[in-house]
Amino acid sequence: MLIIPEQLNILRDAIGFAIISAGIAFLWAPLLIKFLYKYNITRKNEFDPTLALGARKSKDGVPIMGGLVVIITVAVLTYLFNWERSFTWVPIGVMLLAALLGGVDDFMNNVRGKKRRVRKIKQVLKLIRVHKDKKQRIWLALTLPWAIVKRASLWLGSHPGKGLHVHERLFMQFLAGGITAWWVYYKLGESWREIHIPFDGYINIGWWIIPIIILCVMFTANAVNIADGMDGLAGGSLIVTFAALMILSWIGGYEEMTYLNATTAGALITYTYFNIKPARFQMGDVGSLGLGALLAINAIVINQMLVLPLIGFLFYIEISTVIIQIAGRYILGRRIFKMAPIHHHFELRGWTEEKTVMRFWIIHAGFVLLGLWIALY
Amino acid sequence: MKKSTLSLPAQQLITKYLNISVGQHTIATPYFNNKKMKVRGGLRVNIGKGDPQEIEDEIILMALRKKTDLSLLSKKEVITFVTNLNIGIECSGFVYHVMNEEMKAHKRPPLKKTMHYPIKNPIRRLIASFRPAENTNVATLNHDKNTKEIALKNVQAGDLILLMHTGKNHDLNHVLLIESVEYHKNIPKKIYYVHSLQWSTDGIHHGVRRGTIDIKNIKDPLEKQDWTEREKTTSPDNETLWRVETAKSVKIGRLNK
Repeated sequence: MLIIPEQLNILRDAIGFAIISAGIAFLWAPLLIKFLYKYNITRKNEFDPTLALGARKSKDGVPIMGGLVVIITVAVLTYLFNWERSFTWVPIGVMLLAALLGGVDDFMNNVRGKKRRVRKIKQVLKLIRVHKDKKQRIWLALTLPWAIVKRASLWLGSHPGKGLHVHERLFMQFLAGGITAWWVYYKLGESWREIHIPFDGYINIGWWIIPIIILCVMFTANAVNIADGMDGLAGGSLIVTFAALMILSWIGGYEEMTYLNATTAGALITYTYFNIKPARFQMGDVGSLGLGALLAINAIVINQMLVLPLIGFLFYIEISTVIIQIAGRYILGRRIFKMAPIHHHFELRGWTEEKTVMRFWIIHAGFVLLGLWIALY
Repeated sequence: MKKSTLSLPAQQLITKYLNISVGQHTIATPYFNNKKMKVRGGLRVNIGKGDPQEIEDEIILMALRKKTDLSLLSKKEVITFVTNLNIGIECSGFVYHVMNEEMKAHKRPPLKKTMHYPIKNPIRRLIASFRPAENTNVATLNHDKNTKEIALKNVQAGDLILLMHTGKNHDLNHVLLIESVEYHKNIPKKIYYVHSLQWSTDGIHHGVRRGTIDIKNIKDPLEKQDWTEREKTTSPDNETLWRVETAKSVKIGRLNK
């Protein structure tokens, strides 16, 4: 294959974006750490049982919301140098929306206050019968379906703390997925309803693209969120993933997306530098949800949604283990893993954090390579 | 003297139940029955139906959640900690796991495939197929499709002693597992049993325990034989014997193959 000078220029610029992004993030990351320490925006062990695991006790008090270093760097650099209405507006918008959701969650978990509780259905039914205020009784009866949704969504979460509840998070993520689907379906045009199937070609799935995109964004955002549980794990894996997306965007001729992925990979290098054990900060939901949404949307835009499970292998494995664990709990009545997500399972089996993270990186990189290879067909 | 015993894996499982490892100590798995708590749809380990590995794992997880360093606890504190968590094993859960191991050791199908659940509701029956241990209680074991009655003279290791409608109000069922039997001229002379139970005098030391039955006269019913458990030989001090005496039906049952 001959690389024409224009393509070479794009690749050169993309690498430049990555270097600049890493450099800028490196400049302000220490300030962010200082800020997070100053306002005590740190990880609290109150709602995190894993922090009692021997080697993880040191994580108590480490700043969270470190993902801001990536989110803000990427958003600002893209706005200044890569602002393209047809391509980068929506990815950045959705990333910021998801990051905002994560940020609110992180912030609420840090604000002193009571745990937020969801009433049991039994309690609601009782209140409907016995509440002394008639208006309240009517209100409770009318909102009973919503109370059931709230209660049922607790099955999907582990331990509700002071932050957002599962149903609130799912609603916001649905919104982010909905915006992405609207953009792809209505703004990008007919050709974007075609999905690239490796080894086969393209298939037009029409309006089915809408629910698929919504699910893809929601699932991926949560997947990255779940994988963010060990120092360096999510950061290191995301570098490989976004680098692969950069290559695919470049090969596919998506110039703006190439720069966007390169910028993200660059900022992630800096993030991971500060996040490897012992971490100076952790990603937090602000980073993991934002970057998860960005990962999904970028793969959708460059039409590589089907290889996303390989490009984001680790994240999907991590979320799958959580789903399997929940299914095992309710269907079989036992835990399939000692603890979910799977990195905690290995930790409880005696693997050190470093060993787990590095092995996961290598396995992830292997599957990303496989994804890259398949995507090129 | 001839002796019939359970298979080695089944014996190892009993030993594991008697010596679960918690922090620096090993303790006998405490007794826990879900009758009072009425946990629904939870983990089987939280309703007295877990195997020893699950029990150990759950204790570790709960210790993490409660920020308790198990290695710093004394044996008494460990037992109290585990008991307060409602982690333990009940009689039928214990029998289910040990007999399942016994079946596997003899290369027979696992209990979940051979057990008949007398449930009419098809949804409940489907759930029972997914969660066999949780749906196996003494009444299930006592069902004619699951166990056939055995005369005392034919008793052997792996048989169950099923006590129906026992206790003061005849509202409890209980099951004991025969671990080994000693014979003299092919007549049973001594039965070694193991079960999970809580006596009112146990304090915190309840759960999986062993006992013996000396057969004085093979023609006499079980309650007339010499029962010894925790050095108690007479009813009501020996509450296991008391349960046998108060039971409306006492059956030695052998699981159908």
